[in-house]
Amino acid sequence: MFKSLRTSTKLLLLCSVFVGALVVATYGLVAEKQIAIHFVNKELVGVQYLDALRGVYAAILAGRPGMPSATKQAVDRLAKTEAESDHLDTEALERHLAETIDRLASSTDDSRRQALFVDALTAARNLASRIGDDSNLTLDPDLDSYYVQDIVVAKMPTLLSQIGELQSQLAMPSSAQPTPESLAVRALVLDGMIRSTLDGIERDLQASYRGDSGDFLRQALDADLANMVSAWNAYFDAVKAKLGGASEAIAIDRTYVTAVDSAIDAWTASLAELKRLLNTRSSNLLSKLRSSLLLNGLLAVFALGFAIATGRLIVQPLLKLERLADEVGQTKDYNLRTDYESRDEIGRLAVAFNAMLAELAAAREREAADAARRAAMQAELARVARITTMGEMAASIAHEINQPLAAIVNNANASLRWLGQDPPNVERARSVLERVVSDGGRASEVIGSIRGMLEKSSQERVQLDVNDLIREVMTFVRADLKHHDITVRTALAEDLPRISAVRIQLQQVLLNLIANAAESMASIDERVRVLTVRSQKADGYGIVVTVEDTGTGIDQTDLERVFEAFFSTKPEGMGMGLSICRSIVEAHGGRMTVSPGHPRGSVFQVRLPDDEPSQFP
Amino acid sequence: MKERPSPEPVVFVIDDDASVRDSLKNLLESVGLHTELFDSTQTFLDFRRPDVASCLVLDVRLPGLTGLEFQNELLKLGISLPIIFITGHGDIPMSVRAMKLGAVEFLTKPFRDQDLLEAVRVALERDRMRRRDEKTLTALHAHFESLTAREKEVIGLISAGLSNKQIAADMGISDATVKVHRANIMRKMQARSLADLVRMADLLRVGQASLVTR
Repeated sequence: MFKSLRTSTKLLLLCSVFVGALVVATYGLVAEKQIAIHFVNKELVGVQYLDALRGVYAAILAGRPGMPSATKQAVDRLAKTEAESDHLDTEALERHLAETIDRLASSTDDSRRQALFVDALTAARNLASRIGDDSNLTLDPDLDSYYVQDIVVAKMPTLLSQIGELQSQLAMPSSAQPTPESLAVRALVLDGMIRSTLDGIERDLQASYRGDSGDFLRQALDADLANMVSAWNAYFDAVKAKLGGASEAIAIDRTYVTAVDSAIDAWTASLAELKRLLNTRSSNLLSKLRSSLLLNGLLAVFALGFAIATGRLIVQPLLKLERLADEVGQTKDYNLRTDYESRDEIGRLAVAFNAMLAELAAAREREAADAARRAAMQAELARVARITTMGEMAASIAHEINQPLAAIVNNANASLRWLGQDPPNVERARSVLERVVSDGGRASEVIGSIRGMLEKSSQERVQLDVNDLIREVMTFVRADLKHHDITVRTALAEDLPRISAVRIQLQQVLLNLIANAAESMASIDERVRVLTVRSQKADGYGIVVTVEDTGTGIDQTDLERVFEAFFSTKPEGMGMGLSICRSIVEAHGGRMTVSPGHPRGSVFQVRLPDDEPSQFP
Repeated sequence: MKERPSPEPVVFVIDDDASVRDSLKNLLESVGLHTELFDSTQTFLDFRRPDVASCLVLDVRLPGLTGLEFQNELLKLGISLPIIFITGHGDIPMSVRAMKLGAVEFLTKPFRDQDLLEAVRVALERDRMRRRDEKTLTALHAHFESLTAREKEVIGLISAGLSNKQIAADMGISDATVKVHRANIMRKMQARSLADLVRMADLLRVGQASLVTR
């Protein structure tokens, strides 16, 4: 089925398969890129969310009683962000944070406030952690963004919670403190934890710098970080001084605010950098996707174009060859050639096609030359056969005349001798001379009959009686047949219709048939040699002349072929005699057939139409 | 063979055409030649031919077989008659073949009477010579057969050119005995000289025969 498809269709199928494969590959590529982009987008949502949360942190840590509008704004923004990022499972945590802040704002009791303050920080930290988990930030695959997100998601909230907790411990009224020692111990522990968190931030930053080839991170964050560290050191110094005794709450609070602000600033900067990194990655992915799609599209278009071009290059020349072949078939002009040139298979086909046409032309020329030569040869052979027949007739005539002539000469000589004797034997001479007279008469008869026959020998058709023709021919051949010990029988029907024929041609046919018959009987010794010539009326119209012999006969297989030109059963035969006979008979509107004789020999029949035209079937 | 000679030669004519046949008889009889006519080869073969010098005038075209074929047949039958062919239309190859087989002449009808009569004369002369040679050879054979076995042996050695002494040594007999044999041989063979004897031995092919029998 595929075989009988058009070539262009096949090529189109091939091309479709290729484009299909391309589409599948492209789909895989797009899907992969989309997953990556989706991943990044989710991270960006997380960054956005954390940005909002940063505002909330700033508000909580500012620690002002009541619900100032700044705090309210931050909480509202957080709620809004939560509502927008519906695929992050943070609703419960956010609400808990909002409620805690709400309670913190409405609480008047100081120690209660401190506890709520710490709760709010814890809730915020939990929310940050959840945001990190659900927005893929903690799964970030890149070295730079991974460590920056660690700062943004984990380290900063932890740091701010810890400073908040420390500050709330310090701010707790002395009555609420169990002992001054326990406060010192707690402060010391928190101090250690904060320092360790700061170290963690430092390590994260160093790690993220390693992944940042352009050194943009260091430029953006180093200053903020240094700022933050010095602010925090100042705060620690103030805390140490307070724990040492000299209470300077104002200094602590001032350094605390500076530390918190610097941390928020650092956090903001980190968030911005993270956002930048993620945006860069996202746009990189998009541009890569675009170029891949473009490349695949180009490939597909190229494949299609290539298929169409190939199709044309294959199909067009083939169609051209087909048209040429049709034209040659219709016009029989074998000198037409295709002008298509190429080194590919079709080019070679075109060359072979031209060669075949050339060979065909040559073959036709040869054929025509052969036919002409054969026709010329046949004509020449026909002429030779006629001359041979004439020669045989001439020899026969010569013999017929020579016989009485020889007798006359001999007898005349004899009588001269008789007369020349002394005394002359007149009586003997007279009787011999009488023989001369009778032999002379015989010679004259022969000549007379020949002249009569030759006078009738023209190439014109004349009305003739076939029996007369047979008798004439027989006078020529009778002596010859007798020499070959052949008995001649003739059976000529009376009242035959006259036929219209060229006399000399029919004579030739009969002579040929008789000569063949005599020849076929030459080697027969075990039975009598009989030649029978018969004439009779045909079943329908016209007449039939039959020449029958008791010779060797013709093999069944050769019966069909004896009339073919150049076919002969005789070793020296040219194979023209019967062929010419048949053409003569057919030219007279007759037919010639051969059949086996009974019991032996062969029977040749010549059927000729009578003078009534077109009555012979 | 009969020893009694018949002096008058005979000319046989075979021709199927009666007038030609008769005219030939007329011509030949006008010069006094005895002529026998036949219309076919078969009647000729059936005829009891007299033992005289004779020749055959033969038409090339004959019913049944050609004159040339008949010439061959006669050779096979051992009948060595000189033949003069006559033909209505002779050709050169045919005449060459006939002459090679020993025909005297090949004449094309109509021919001059002198040509035929000359050919007949030559043919009869040739037959006469042949008959004489045949007779001589027959006599020689008869003489040779009258020799004893020893004498036949000696004649072989003589014809081989050996001297009496050599013959004596060869046969282990005395010179005198050889001489006696030799005298007997000369007498029986009716040889007039040694050379005559050697020629007779050659005709009889004695030399080879005795060498073979030895």
